Amino acid sequence: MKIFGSGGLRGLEAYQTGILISDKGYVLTAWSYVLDAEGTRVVTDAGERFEAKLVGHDSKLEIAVLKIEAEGLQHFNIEAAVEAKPGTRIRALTNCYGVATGDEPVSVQQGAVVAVTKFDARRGKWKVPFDGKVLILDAITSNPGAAGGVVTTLDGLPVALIGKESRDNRTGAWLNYAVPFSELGDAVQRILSGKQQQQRQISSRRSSEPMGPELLGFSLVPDVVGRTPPFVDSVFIDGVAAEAGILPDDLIVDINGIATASCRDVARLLGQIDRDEPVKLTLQRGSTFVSVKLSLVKSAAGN
Amino acid sequence: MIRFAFVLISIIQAWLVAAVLCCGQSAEYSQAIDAAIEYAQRSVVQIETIGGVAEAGQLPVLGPFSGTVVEESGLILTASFCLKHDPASIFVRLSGKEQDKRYLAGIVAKDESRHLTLLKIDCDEPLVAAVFGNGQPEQGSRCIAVGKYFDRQWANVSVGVVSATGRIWNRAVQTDCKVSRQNYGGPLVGIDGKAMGILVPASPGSTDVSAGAQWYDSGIGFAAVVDPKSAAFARLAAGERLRSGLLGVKFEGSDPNDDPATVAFCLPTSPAGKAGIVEGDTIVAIDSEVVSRIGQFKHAIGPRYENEIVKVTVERDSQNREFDVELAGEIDPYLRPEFGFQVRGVTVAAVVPDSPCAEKVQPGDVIESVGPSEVTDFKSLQSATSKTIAGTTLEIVVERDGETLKLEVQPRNFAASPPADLPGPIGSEKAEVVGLEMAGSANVCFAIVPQQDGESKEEMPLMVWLPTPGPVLQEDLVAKLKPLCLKWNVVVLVPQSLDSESWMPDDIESIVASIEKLSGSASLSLDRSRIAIAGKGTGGEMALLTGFSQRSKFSGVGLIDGQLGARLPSFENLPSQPMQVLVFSKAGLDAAGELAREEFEKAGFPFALNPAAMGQEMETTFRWVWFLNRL
Repeated sequence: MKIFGSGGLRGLEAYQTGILISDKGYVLTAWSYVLDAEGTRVVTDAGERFEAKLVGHDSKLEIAVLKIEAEGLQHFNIEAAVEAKPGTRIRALTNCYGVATGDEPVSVQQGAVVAVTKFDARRGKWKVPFDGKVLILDAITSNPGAAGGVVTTLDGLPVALIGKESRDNRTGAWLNYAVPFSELGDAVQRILSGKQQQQRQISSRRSSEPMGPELLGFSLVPDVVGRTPPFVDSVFIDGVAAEAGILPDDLIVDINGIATASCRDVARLLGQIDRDEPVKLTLQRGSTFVSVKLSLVKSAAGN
Repeated sequence: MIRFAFVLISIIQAWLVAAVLCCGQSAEYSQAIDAAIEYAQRSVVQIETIGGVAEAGQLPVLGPFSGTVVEESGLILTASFCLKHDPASIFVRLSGKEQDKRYLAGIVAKDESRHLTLLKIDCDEPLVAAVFGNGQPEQGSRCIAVGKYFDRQWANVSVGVVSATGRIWNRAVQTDCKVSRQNYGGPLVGIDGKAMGILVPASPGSTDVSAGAQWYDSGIGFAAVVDPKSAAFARLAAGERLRSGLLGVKFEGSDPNDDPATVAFCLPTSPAGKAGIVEGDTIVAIDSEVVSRIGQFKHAIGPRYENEIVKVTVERDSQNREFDVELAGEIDPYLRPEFGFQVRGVTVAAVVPDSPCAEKVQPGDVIESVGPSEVTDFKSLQSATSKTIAGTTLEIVVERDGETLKLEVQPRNFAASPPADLPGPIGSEKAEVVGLEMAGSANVCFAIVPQQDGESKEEMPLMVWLPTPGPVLQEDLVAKLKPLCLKWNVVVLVPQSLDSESWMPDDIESIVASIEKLSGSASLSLDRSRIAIAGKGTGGEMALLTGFSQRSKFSGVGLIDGQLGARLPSFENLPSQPMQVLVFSKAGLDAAGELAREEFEKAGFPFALNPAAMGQEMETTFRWVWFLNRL
């Protein structure tokens, strides 16, 4: 169904999409500024308008549940949602670009699931906090107003909820994605049961006492271009790195299994690790790979 | 309530209709797609890079991309676009049991024609090479774009159809699958799981490896067609850089869909020239493919590589002749030769000091022949001189005081700067400012026309001067330009932009119309071989666009303190369409301008940058126009 609320200024659309998830008038939609205003309106495909009340939301999953005073409407049973895999043919039902007006049904698109993967996206410069499982779609669903729409199988069974417009964190390309209902079920139940949103501990990305190359006893080559390859410049005598056998000109390939494409990546990843945690580095030395484990704690104990 | 249900039901009904139409085979069809993905993804690997150059002003594009195993020994093809940043190291990640293992990859060679890079890894695990389909896929048939961007175990896929074959001059298959960094380097496979090509960004209008990348979510995607069993692939695997094969012929026709492939020019050093093809030959077949238009020629040559031999059939004097031509990867540009004289008709009017003809040819000489070509008028003289090759010695026959003289001359590369030590015309004393009302436009163009004294009126050169858009202060402009018009006997035409704020491509038509209107006036005779278009700032940028859009009208373009760019129409340098470029830039060229200059010089256009001191721009521009048709 079509949802209308605040927005409409400076390129912000004042509409999005939602789906009925029970015969009691509960509507699942995306948590966005559209719901900011009092008097959010929900319009069915038959053109019937309802004032909607916000029941609750989950800001990390970016979903919200609204309630309209209507019973017995046909709805999606998201508990019976279907899991999809790459290649699964799907349909997407959204109010993209607000094309559907009055008593018109929302727009249907057809496509296939590209991948099932962890979400890694940004809006503008900001990384989206949600990093759970999503379906990437090859239908162009990442459109204004599409958030809160539903992805179904070809025979109409619910699969996933379309999220807000986001770009791939690594390539900057628009991502067409949807969050599987299996990921949303618990949060929806919690909202429906009237419990407050759990104050999820959104783990701080920055450690209080961050690790750094100098602490580990080595330095990187000067970071001159945006993508300077992370070569070890020098290894300090008596440092942890020297002990572990790191040599100058080693290239840092990954840290704790996460690929490091540049000096900046190394600085950022080490910054997320606490000083008392061990660090596993993979190094490229000539044409071979070397794995080393470094720990400040062990070294302190050893001394 | 009922209404909502009704519409939901109506949607479901629509699905049911679709189901009846196509889903009779739906389960089978899904299975087929699953099987194809399963089959194809075994040959797809994930590739990571470390380091490299980030492009200025762009968010760095990081993250892995895909590659397709083409030989079990460890040969992997990927899209050159993904290695554009020139990384310090390239790693291949496999999906087998040792999936955390990295293999260091080396670049074997690049296929510049298809925008592909061949990588090699030394691998102890068995690799599965992709199986390539035989023959051309059918337009409209199902296909799947396969990549390993998100995960190295499970492929990501986009399902679609073959939109067309023979795209990008017969080098690629087009698909409506979403082709992007999510699958560049992976294969496009059919429902049988066999590869049709390797996914790359591509665009028919550009040879840049990034061209077409902006279409990632548009439903326009390409897979470069390769055949690992071909001789060309063997060359690539042996480490040879593969470039597109070029014949080295130029056509005069502008409509590739209509005009026959009649050779307008080919350098004797080009593959075609070496094989014996000459201008005037019409190409009628390449190997056994019939060619009746320029477009067919481009499709026939498009997929071929450097050093391949093609059989070219040409029609010459109503007879077909066959030539075996070895294609080249690079063609010498056509460089305009300079003899160093200016003529009226075929009579020498001035000789450039220190030029090849200095102290050999004299003013007043009547030229009778250049090399093997007899000349009778300016056109035939221009044609004969422009087709000679700089540095080769040839004979010019002139008549001087009733005597016939044979002179040996070695033309040089055309000097772009106007000759400094050569006196100009006598000049005029009066000039008339003529208003030109253009039909259908409120704008009034005007022209400054020098009034020549005496009976014999010479044809005068014309400079079209494009002012800054907006209302033109005619008096100021006339005051500035008139003294130079008088001194150099050059007619100046000042058109105005239709839009009061900017020059638009639509203005080109009205600029050309204003020239025709001016030359139509009875009292004026223009020298068609000396028409230039110039301007300052945005006016100069418009002059560049107009000049290169109307190559037959203009033989010179002048840009003063504007942004130099080389993305221009009709950028082909032909002997029959002389074009010189004059650029003044107080601040010097910026990075984009430098790139553009390289493009102009690579194409062989005489290109002069700041040929005179600052403050002398206009004076030098008029001098340049006066000597524009020197040979």
